[in-house]
Amino acid sequence: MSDLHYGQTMSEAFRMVSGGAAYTATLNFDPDMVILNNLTTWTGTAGGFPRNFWFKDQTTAAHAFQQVVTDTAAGASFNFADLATNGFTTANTSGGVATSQCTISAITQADPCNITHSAFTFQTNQLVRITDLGPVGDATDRGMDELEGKRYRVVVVDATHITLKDPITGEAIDSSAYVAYVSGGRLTLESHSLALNYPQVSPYSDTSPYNPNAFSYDPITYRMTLGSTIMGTDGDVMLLQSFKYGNFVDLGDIG
Amino acid sequence: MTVTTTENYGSMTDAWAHRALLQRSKPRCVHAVLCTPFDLPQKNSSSMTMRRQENLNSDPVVLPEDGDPAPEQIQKFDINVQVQEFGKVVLLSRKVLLVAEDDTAAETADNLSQCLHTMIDKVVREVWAASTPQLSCLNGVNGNAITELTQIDVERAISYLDDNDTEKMTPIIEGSSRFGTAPVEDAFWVTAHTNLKPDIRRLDSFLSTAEYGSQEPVLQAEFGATDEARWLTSTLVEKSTDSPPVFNNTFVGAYAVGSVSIDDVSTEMILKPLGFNDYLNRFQSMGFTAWFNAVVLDDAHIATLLSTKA
Repeated sequence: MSDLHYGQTMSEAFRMVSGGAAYTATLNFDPDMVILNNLTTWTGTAGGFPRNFWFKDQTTAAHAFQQVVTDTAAGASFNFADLATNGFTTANTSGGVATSQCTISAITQADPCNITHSAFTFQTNQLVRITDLGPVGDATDRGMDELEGKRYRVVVVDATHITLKDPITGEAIDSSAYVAYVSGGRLTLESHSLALNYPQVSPYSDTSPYNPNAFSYDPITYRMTLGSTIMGTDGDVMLLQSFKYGNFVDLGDIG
Repeated sequence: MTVTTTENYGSMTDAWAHRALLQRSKPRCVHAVLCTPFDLPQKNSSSMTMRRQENLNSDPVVLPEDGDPAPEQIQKFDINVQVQEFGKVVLLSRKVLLVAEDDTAAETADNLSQCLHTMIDKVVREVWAASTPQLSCLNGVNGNAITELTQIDVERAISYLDDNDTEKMTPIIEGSSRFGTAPVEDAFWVTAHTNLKPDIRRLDSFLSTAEYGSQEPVLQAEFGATDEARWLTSTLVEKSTDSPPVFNNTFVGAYAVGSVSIDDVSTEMILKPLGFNDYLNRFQSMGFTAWFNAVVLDDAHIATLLSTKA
């Protein structure tokens, strides 16, 4: 969203029904001020929090400046509290290109060959390239020479384990007789894609043909996590307002 | 909202103003130049799919006299790339144009042009950094888990490309009768950070560009050559924020990487005169848009050798 014109502000609002838990809202610009209104506790509910404020560059980022209903009779009196936890937290994404790489920490000599890797979400049938194994010169060999530099189809076992299959025949890789794993190794997802010919297998169906994941550059996404303490209780109607100033001048110490 | 005004851009009225602006630092864009360019036609999709056939099984098949061999199914591999629009705009106030002594608008146009190329180069760099198979330098002596560059590790990276039948990017530079020069092998390109120049120079087979048999094919960012590799250096090359920092030395063969844009409108410099969007002709805009993206076409032909500094 553009902010081309001097003095013009940007603003937007979102209405939602609270689930009683923290929620991360995606905004269309980098806000200077955010106000979260609880329309259900707007008046009358003693101890309710009708408004919560957040300002960019406030002293403590996660705090919220919270309006509190103090008059139990009419809800006509309010106070403000500094909420130190579970208030607003900026959760902007950094943008760029999501990595397609992870590291290996173990490989079994088994049928099928099982690899333990660092956190990375693979999908069954994706193709990976394995590197940084085998003989490495004067340094200690890393083992699993047979896998070095080759590509395989993966079968996801769990969040940190995959087994390997031949990329074309689909046969499981039997590493029983391979050189024992020593250390190191890296996995790279090949070209953001699924397997050869993209077979329509679970979790994909032939009624929903799969397109390979596109190379693309993720823009920065402006997000704000609304903590559980400011999101009211389940069912509360919330109004989120976000503002960007048209101009901001720091006048310094004018005293 | 950020307008370039005399309040922030200022004037030089209390001194004799040299109207020619000084040279800006210009990082060398070494990534995008190695991409094979592709264009999407206009009035079409913003996605391009590229297809590669896998090699057929070439095990010898002796044909029987009385029958045909079983047909082999062709295996294909598709790659998708989504063209995106990148851009930048600046606004100049009329007062800047009237009051500032330098040639602000012309220099700003040049600055935007540089920004365009650098931005595109960074997109390519980030695609490479995220999607390229990696090897670690392990044979150095600096004590880090990923060591400094060594000839053995450089040979491991080249071996990876050779094992995948990667074609070279540059032809042989023939020797000449000039004293102190030598021929250069046909080679892969390598992109490396300028901080690693001393490490590259220490490689056993290093030949500086000054020693090439001919200077004609030397690129501006080229630092030198080692066996089968010609090194381009730039401050734009990926360098991690780890301590110590890890550097990406990316070896690129032919047909490894591509870039996609849209026919005829791939990049546009858009200069709008004063009054483009205000009543009193007080603001002028200058900017660019670029329809672009980068893609790894075949990760068999590109590899990143990770290293630290000696």
